[in-house]
Amino acid sequence: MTAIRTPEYRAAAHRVLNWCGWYTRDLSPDVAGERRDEIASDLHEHAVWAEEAGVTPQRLRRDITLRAIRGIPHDLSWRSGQLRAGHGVDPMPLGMRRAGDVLAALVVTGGVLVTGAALFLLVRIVRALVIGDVVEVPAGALGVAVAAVLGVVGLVLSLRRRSRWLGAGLLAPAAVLIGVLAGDIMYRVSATGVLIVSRLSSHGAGVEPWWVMSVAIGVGAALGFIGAAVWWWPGGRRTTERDAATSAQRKTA
Amino acid sequence: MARRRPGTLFPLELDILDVGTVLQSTEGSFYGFALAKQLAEAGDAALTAHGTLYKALSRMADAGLIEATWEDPEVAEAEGRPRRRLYRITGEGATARDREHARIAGEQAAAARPAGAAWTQGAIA
Repeated sequence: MTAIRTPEYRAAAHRVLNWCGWYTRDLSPDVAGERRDEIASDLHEHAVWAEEAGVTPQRLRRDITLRAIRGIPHDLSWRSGQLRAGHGVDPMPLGMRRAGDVLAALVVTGGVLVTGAALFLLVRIVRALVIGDVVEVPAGALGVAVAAVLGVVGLVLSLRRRSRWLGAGLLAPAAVLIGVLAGDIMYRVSATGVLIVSRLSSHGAGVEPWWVMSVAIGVGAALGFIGAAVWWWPGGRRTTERDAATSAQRKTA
Repeated sequence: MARRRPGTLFPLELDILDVGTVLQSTEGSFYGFALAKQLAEAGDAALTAHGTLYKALSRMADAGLIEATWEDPEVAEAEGRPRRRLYRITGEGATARDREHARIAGEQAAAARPAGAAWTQGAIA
């Protein structure tokens, strides 16, 4: 069996070309295609040379993988350079694209926090029920469960470019639910929660300031998620242009 | 990422120009993997990473130090392999290579001079 036909080489080459496809995404078809062809040629020549040199398929796979990994920082800086030089297919200005990337990072970070809080509260509720700290399911537990489901689904959807708008949209109600319910639930199921809430409490009639603050944080986060959802709305200009660019790239592939 | 001093080459770029000159003199041109292989043999090191090598080649082509052309697809097809991207060192690249070697030699001479002078002064004292 020649080196090129071994599963080890094929797997390694497949991974490298997949990586190449990733870091050449959104670049003009010419630039991306040339890079892909050059890497494909390199992989082929590497395999031919390895066979002539008596290199085992396992060693060839390792060498190819290491070459790819060591080059990652340069692949990424080359990509940045190409985008700065205007070789991207995306007509969106670089500054706006960066703003979109920052927004995506903020949404994912916020989504992790909201989902993490919802799951934490769920775990505390279940634990309190199991060890007998509470005798019945506390009010608001259903809301926390809904927030956890919305959070997990929203987080997963927000990781994919095409479904980011929906993910951010689902995270918004989850954030509000957590903002409204977190303090009350912690007060009911956690001794530490009782201490914190008691300390922050005004012990007077009317709405507690800590609850207002908690709701304000939840609503503020929700507004942020809604803003992100609007930014990524599929009918919007940005997504349409990006989709057109992506489909143009695929046609040339 | 390292920043280039004006008028100088990165070590890898100089290596590419050196090894490329040798390959070009025998083959007429050179391609990425042949270059990686020769660089590894010359430096007794691992093959240059894909990203490092092709980013350097891309940068050098943009700077006019080398020129790139794609191999005739029929030739590649006849040999049953993907087409190669062939590089040739330009006159500008050869000039930059010679200038860089001269600069390095000058720096080495300058670095050696104070030590020699100090030794001479010590010997006289």
